[in-house]
Amino acid sequence: MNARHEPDDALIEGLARVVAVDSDHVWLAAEQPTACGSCATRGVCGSGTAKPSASWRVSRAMGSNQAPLALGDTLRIGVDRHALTRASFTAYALPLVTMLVAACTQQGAGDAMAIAAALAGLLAGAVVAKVWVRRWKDALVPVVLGRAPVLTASSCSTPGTGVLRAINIPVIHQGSL
Amino acid sequence: MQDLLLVLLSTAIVNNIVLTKYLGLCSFMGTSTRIDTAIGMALATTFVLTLSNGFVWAAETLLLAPLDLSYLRTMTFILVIAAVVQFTEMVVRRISPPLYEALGVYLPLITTNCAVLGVALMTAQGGYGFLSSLLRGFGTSIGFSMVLIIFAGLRERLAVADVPKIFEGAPIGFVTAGVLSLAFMGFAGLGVH
Repeated sequence: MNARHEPDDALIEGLARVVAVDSDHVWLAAEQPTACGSCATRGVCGSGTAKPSASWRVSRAMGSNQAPLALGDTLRIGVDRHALTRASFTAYALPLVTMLVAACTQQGAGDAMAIAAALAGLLAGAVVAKVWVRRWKDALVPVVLGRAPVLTASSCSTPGTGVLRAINIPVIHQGSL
Repeated sequence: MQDLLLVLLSTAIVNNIVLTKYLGLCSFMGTSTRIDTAIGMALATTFVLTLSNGFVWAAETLLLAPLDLSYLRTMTFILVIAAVVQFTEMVVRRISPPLYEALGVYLPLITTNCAVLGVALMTAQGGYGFLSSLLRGFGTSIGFSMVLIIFAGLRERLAVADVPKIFEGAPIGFVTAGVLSLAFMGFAGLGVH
C-alpha cells in the first residue's frame, strides 16, 4: 500500500481516466498532455488520449452522496508540486549535464572520442539519477481530487490557477493491469 | 572554452529560438499558462533537443553526407527526433516509473515541436563538429526554457490582471510575447556567432 498523501494547494493537477473496473476498485491511467493547453475536452477533440496501460488502482467509492466510479469516468488527480519538479529536474538535467561535461573533457581528442565520452556520461548520469530520484517515490503517487467536469467541444478552456480542494481518496496500489 | 561559452550565449539569447526565430510557438503558448507545467516542458525539451542534435550530427556526418543523400535530410531528421523522443520516454520510465506516470513527460508534445527539427536543420546546414552541435542544441533549449518560464510567470500575473475582455487569454499572450521579442532583438547587436 502506498503512503497516504494529504492533498493541499501545493499540487499539480492533472486528469486521469478510469480504464478498468473490478469489484471494489478501478484502475486509472493518466491522460497525455496536449499542445492546446491541456484542456479538458480532449475526449471530444481527440488530441489527447489516456495511456493504454493503467497506472494506479483506487477505490470505486467516491464518498457519500456520490455515484461510484465507472468505466470511462475522468478524474482530477494531484501530484506534489515540489517533488515533481525536483524529480523531473534530476531525471532530465543530471544525465544531460554529465553527458556535456564528459564530451567537453574529450574536446581535443576528436569527434569519435567525444561521442564515446558523451554516451558514457549520459549512461553514468542516468544511473545516478535513478538512485537519486528514489527519494521522491512516495511523493510522486497522486491523490484523487474529484471528478473532472464533463465538458463539450465548444467549452474549451485553459486550466485555471485556483486553489485545489481535495477529497480524501487515498491511492492504495500502484502497478499495471 | 571561450568559443563554447560564446556558442551557448549566442544560441540561448542572441538567436533565441522562440523570440527571434519564432519556432516552437505552439508548445510555447500551450504550456506557458503555469510555471510548473512550463518547467516540466522546458526540462523535457532541453533533454530531447540536446540529445537529438547529437544524433542528427551523427546521421548527417556518417550517413547523409558520405552517400550524398542530403535531400533526405528532413525526413531522416524527423525519424531521428521521433526515435530520440521514444528513447527519452524509455529512459525516464527506467529512471523513475512514478515520475513517468505522474508527469506524462510532455514527450508527445516535443515530437511535434518544430523548434527541435528547426534547430537540427540549422545545425546540419552549419557544418559544425559534434561538441559544437551538442552545445548548440543545449544552448537553444536553455533559451527556450528561459523564455518559457519567464513567459509563464508573466501569464500567471496576466491571468489575474484586469485585461479587456477581447484581449483575455491567447491575444494578450501574443501581445506580451511580441513585446518580449522586441526586447530580445536588442541582443542582436552583440554579434556573436
